[in-house]
Amino acid sequence: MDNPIMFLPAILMKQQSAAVLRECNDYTVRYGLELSEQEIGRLVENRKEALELTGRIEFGGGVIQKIIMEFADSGYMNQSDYADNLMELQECFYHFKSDAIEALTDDELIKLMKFYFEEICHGSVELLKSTMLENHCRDIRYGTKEYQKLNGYEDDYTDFLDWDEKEN
Amino acid sequence: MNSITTSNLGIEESSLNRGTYFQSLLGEVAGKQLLSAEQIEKLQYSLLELMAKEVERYTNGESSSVPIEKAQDLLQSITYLIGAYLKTVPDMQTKLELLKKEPMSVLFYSGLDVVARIKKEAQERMQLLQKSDRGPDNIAYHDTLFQGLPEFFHDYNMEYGAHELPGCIDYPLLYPLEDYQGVELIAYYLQRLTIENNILRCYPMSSINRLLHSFDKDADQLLINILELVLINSLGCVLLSKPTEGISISISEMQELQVKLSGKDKESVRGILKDAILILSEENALEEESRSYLMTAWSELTERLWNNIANGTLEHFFILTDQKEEVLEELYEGIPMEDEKLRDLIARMNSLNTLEEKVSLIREEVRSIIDLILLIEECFYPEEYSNFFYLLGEEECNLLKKWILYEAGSISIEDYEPNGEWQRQLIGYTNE
Repeated sequence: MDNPIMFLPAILMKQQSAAVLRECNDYTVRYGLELSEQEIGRLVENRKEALELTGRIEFGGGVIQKIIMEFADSGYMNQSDYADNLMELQECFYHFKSDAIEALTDDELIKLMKFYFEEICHGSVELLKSTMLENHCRDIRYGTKEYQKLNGYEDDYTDFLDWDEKEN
Repeated sequence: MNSITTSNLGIEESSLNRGTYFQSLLGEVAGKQLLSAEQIEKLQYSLLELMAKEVERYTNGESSSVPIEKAQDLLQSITYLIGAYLKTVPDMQTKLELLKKEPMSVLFYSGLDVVARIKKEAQERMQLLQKSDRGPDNIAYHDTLFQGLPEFFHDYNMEYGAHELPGCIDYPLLYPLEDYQGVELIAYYLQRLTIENNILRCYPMSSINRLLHSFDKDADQLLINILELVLINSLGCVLLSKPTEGISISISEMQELQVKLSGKDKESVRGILKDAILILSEENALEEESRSYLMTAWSELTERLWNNIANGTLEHFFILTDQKEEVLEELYEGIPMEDEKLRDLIARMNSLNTLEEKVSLIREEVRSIIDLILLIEECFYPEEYSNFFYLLGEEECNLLKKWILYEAGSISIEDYEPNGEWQRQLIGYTNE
């Protein structure tokens, strides 16, 4: 069998994901946030595309439930761009999950996203994506902390910095 | 007849792929519409649930998603385990009932039990083989038995990589295993290796090693199946109506085989080989298991023998065993005697008066080149060397020369500088 994953019915996975999103509405409604059936459909489709793009597969309702629970109380979330923000956060999650070479658990990555989103990026998913998470995942890939402070340690990290320059 | 057809549901067990049994069975079941659309959906949902649970276990509940390659590995492992269990279910009807009624997780955990049992039995078989090993001289064989297989059992992950094959299994079997995966492949490999060793036990190790040496001087480094070579020459011996124990074929015997086999059509060759295998099995009093194993090689051997007869290249099928080699190899392979026995022999040698008596005693007692060299150094005077070499014989002298060149670092005779008187005289004597 060339691709055993084809065995698993995509429609069932979509149904599970939509059911989870509907359940989330019961919780988020207290923060004035709610997803319409159309938005649920878009989020499910967005999840499928994000997973395909990052070469991942997910079972159950997906990580979106945890993202919703974590971000629902954020002051930067409002009903007008709630679904769009969720879609971006979902894409962001799958991208950086792979980018961090599986070193972060789902909960760690979501908490990190929430922290940067609230404290540094002030509600900008774009900023979260292109700066904070990018740098953090680079730290993980290169096996070092405080990547941006490495300029003072050129002697020890020459190869590493050369690599970085090439990348840029 | 009808009841057999009903219980098989039109699905032949032998037509199902042994490695991807579950998928193969599902394909047949779906093709014959033995499951309704609802039942298929239920089965897929059950598999999805199991897969989700396994991903959660694999990631310790820390990640709901995994890279697609890992998911494929996990799913292959799951389907392998389900297949391993379904293979143990005796009839198709029961298999179908299980697919209809049981959740996939039940079949999966039953599969884990089956695979654990297969692994345990295979490991015991490996240990038996290691203990009873009398080792044909082949690096791949020893590496497989003492490194590759233990590595497999050490690294094999029953739950998340049941279909995988860690460890290097290099030594080829007479009849290669097809389709099987994971621990089932290893279990069958060990079962066949045991049968092959049981058959090889019918032959003296010195004959096997001589045959291998005749096949190729570096046979120990080749990826060859030893039984195949032994079987081919044994069949040659049967066709020559001579005992198979020596597994040797001389030039004149090769010519005799050419005469016997030339002009035969393919069917005749087939019949001749089949009869020869049966005679060989009788002669060696092989058990039924070994007999049928040898018969598995029948068709392929017929094909090869027929091609070689047609091309007049019979020497590419049977192995010509060098008769001179036999003497040399016996001396090479003998185990040096214990110190006490050697001291006693030296004393007996020194008590003898004539060179003829000494050479005669050497022929009777000495089985190792190392002992022979020690006796030359201890029991002969330099003025006796040339007569001694003459009495010892050309083959033994050539062996001694070969040995001293080997000891000096496998150099040519032109580069050799003798480090003792007997070596100098030996080189002079053999060059005469």
